[in-house]
Amino acid sequence: MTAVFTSDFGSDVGSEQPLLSVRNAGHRYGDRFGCRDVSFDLWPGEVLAVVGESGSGKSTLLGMLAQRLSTDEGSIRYRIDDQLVDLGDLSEREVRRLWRSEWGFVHQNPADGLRMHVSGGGNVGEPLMAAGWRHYGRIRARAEEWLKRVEIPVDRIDDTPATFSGGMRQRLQIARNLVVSPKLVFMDEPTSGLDVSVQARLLDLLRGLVADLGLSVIIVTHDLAVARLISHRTLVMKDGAVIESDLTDRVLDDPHAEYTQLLVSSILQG
Amino acid sequence: MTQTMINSGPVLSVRDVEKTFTMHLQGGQRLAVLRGLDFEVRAGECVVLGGPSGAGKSTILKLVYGNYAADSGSIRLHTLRQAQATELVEASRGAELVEAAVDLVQADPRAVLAARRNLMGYVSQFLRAVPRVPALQVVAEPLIERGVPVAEARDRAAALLTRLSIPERLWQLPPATFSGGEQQRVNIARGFLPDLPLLLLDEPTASLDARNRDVVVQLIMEKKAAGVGMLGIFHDADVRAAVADRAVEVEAFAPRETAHVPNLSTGTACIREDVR
Repeated sequence: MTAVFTSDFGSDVGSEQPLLSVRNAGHRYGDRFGCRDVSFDLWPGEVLAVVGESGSGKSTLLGMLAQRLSTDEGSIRYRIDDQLVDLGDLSEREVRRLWRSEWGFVHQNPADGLRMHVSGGGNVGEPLMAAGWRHYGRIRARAEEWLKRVEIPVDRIDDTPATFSGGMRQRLQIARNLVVSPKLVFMDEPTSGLDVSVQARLLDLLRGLVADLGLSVIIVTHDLAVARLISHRTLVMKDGAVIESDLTDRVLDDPHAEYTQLLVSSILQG
Repeated sequence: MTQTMINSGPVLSVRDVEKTFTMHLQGGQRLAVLRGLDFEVRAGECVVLGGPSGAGKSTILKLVYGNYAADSGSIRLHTLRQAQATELVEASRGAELVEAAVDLVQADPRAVLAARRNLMGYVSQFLRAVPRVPALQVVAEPLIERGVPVAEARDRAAALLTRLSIPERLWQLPPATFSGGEQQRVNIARGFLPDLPLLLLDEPTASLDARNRDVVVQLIMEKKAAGVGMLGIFHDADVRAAVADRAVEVEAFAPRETAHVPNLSTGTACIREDVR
């Protein structure tokens, strides 16, 4: 028996456009750059980890990509209707529309991304209302569905996140972000405020959701094990610059830069 | 005829590959591990990497899979794809498939990931399973990711787990709680299930009993019959004798000033290596 293998390899690579395209981008604090000369493309369905120690510029980079900090040099382009559009050219209104319908942001501290005194169901339903949903029954049904998906007991739907555990709050924040089926989600150390056992559960949940929904994700983390578990590619930052960038397992198994070798060798053995 | 010709051709060709590790934390010490590495694996054959431990056998598997970056040379995966209309004019009449190759030394990360999805599988020595994911799901996942319907993927996963003597009562449990031998069999099932042109095997039988070792030998023979090329490390002499078509002696490619391969990845407390 002779099997013939075929693949679409070679025909699809390069034929589509990235979702996000960053070229020589930098943000300046006064006369000093928080991050500089950052270039990469993010493709649909791709998870990119940005790793580095505190002060490396990774949070500045995330803030700049998420349009919270200005892009003082270079460009950040995002795909809208098959066109790469410079985010600097969009009006505030258009950026707000992206936040309502295409982008999400998962904060390290769930309290920054949730309304702590609105019910769990309300937190998930709100983005749907902002996106134009009006039917209360449908909104509640969708909220229930998402609570189940992030493993929050549905009988907690009317409780406020103030009464939730840290892990539940973080899962609720994820549901609030993903309920509108965004294309691109920014995550800032989403697991680092949690106990180790809760972290593993959350990461596993995130990994499954990202794959099922085909999300593109940019996740900032200081934890290389998080990058290993969830990301396809990794950027390593130091002193505001990207010093190494490759497949995640290549960065972790065969680190080239001195600083990356130091980071990899510093991981505690489990 | 064209088909037969192409299928007897290489699925993997490694040409003049060099690999040196620079250990910045040891004062920039350079460890040359491989030089002039040159071999190929043809469709339907199993090539074993020979040589003492530390010679660089696992390094070669990692270079091919892309966890390690080669310094120079080329590592090409060959595949067949549907010819474009313009190519059909050039090619012999009736040939609908033409050969395409990707060089993993030059490929960008996205192309390496595409190659892992479409062209090559890797059975590592140890299973790095995510907590909480049941064994059946761990095994079926690579098929589901490649678009096989969930029910069919689960059925095929169940059949292979049965062949590898993993009792049904374990299927819905996460493998993290299994014995070493059971974990390895789950890992083998996961690696052998998808149909890919090239399979990399890093001591797949290391912690198996005789009966399961025989099952793995059978699986390898079936892959060969299906035209899969395999590159493997087997310390078990019986298994090696049963499956090997050829051996590549890694020491032949050792630089003169060679040192043993450093274990760079022991520091990485990772949960799973094959997330992509």
